[in-house]
Amino acid sequence: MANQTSWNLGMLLPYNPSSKRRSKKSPKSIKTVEDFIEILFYSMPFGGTLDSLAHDSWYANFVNSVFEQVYLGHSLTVNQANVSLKVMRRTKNELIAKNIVSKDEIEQQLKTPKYRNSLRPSVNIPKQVRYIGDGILAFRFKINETILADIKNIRKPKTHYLDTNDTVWFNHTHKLWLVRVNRDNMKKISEIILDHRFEIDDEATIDFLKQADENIGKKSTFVMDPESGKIVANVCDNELIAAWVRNVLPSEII
Amino acid sequence: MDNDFLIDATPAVARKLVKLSNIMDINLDDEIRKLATENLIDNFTFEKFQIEPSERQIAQELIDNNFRSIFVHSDKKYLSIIPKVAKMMDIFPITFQVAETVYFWKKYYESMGENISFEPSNKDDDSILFLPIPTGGKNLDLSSKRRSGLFISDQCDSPNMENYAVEFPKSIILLNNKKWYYTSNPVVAANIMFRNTPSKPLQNSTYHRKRVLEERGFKKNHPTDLAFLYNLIECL
Repeated sequence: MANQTSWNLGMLLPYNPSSKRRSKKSPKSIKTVEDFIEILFYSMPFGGTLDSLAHDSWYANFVNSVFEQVYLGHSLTVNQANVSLKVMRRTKNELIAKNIVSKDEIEQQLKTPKYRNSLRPSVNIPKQVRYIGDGILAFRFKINETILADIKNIRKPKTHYLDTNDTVWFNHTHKLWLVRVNRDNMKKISEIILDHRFEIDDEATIDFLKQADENIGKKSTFVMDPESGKIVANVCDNELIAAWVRNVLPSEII
Repeated sequence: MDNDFLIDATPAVARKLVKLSNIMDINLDDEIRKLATENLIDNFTFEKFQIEPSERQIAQELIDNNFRSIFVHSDKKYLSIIPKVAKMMDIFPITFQVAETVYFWKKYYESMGENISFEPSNKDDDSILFLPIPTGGKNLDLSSKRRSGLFISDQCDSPNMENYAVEFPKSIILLNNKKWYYTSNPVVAANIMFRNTPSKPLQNSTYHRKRVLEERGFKKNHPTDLAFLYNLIECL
């Protein structure tokens, strides 16, 4: 099955005869891993991939993404270098068979890889979920299309033109996906946390998830707090009243 | 699902919560119910400012809302209550230089025995907002405190309305409609007054009444029953 790749920088590049897609010409020289990425990128059919990578579109996307970095002269990260070598191993036979690369050079790179620029350390982003107050869970993870699709899918489908999809949004500053928990999305959220093995590293998040589950159908409570002289409100299972207290009444979130 | 808030314990807030308890099953502390009966304007004060008994509940609501309200009326005669309450609370109006609005306020001040001229709120720029300046009296500098004035507009669909509602904490949007809940204007006005607030309670759609309100435990689901949530005052 040929997997579709996304639009990428290569499609916008000016025509370069020395790097045009090749098939039956003499093998291209590989002096560095970056050379291999370039050759691989130009060897992949437009909008498609090689047979040896066809079973997983992730690899084709990876090649496109890393090629953009190489083209701009950026150095690879340690993880990107490791995955590039993995891709090299997977595609080696096909590239040699198609006479795109020479066997000796590719095996040399696999044995002692060389890079144009020194490698950068990889940023490790653990998959974490944390309660940040006001009924909102924050999800942090390295870009992953499957998780992203599941998180976006938390939004209730619009069945009426007046419906609003304001329960899931992305915070660009902190690079977090935020989800306002309600009775309609509780199940989907629990599934995402379990299926994708999100870490929960604090008690507050565990308490919130337990409490949210117990609060379905429970009455909201408003009591006077003699110490602060304020009204303490616990709004359960009612996002309309919670929004009213938050936006209309003179209140602060605990 | 589980939202905790600290709310300022004022009699006005307590009265709102008591109203909420009438349309929804909530646990409400007796202390809050007691607080709701405090700080009501007495009849003597109402009489002093010629506020009729039939107008007193509306006057109290305007004060409880701290003059941030959507005022739905079927006739302009009902609007006279607004300047009376503003005068009672010593709040001056801010208005557009629209003949009708200026005339409305001038007439009111004349009835109170005061001569007023409206002048730009800021003489250094081309402000379209006007403030009342007493003629022949002491020269009040209202421009420095114009944000504490009462901004009134019936231009609910004006693109600038949101900015004015942010600039003036005391803002009243006038809606002239006998059957206001059959239009979308209250929803638009509520969104201007309170950003990010779901407008569903004011939407007169059977779909929302059933799916959104009933499922969330509202005992009443008609927009008129829930209007107080958005400081909407009916004067029909």
